[in-house]
Amino acid sequence: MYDELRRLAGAYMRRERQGQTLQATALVHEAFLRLAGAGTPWTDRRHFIGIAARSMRQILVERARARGAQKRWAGMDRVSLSAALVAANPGDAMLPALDEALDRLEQIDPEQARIVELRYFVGLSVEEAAEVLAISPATLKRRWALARAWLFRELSGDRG
Amino acid sequence: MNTERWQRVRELFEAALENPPADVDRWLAERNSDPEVRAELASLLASHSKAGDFLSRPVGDRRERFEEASRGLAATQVIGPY
Repeated sequence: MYDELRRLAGAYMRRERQGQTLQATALVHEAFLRLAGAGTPWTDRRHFIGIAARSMRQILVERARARGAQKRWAGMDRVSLSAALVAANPGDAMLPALDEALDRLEQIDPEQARIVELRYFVGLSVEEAAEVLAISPATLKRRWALARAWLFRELSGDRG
Repeated sequence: MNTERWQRVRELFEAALENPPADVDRWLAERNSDPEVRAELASLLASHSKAGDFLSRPVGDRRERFEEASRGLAATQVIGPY
């Protein structure tokens, strides 16, 4: 179980420098504690990775909330908001708003939310995420584009 | 938006990405007469073209988050051999 979680968290560290093992382990440990505590049964690897990805999302969003992300996001003017949305690395201010938008997207299409968790919150590649969801990489790529477009519209449209 | 309409939107969005139409309005009119589906698709394709690098870099790339997680665990002394 731990091995699987550690492998999953390894995706986080892919673009980072050497020597980040402790941090990856710490995050995984936290995810594991939540999974163990939730008493959720998982029957196969795919299901397990899905649960772990969900847990990662919760951890990252809660951390952002604890750091006052919502207030920072709400305080942005339209120009900063537009710039933040199209940036590769907008900072964690966006995370709570993204999390709420993702809940709404999940109501329409649960698979879309799973794709965002695997690609954005865990950092799996197109191929890895496609494997977890048992769809082709080409389909995953197009559905990921759809999720990005939907969420982008939702986040940029909030302020009218 | 109901499930049938959303699935139609999703199919058309995927088709448009695969073979980008020169004239989106005309392309849509040829494929779907449902105004709700057409409006949603046009809106999503517009967002797609504006989205830039939105979500292109995983949130987990941010190193400070791991350091923070690590400090929290060190404080509660739960780091050990796995």
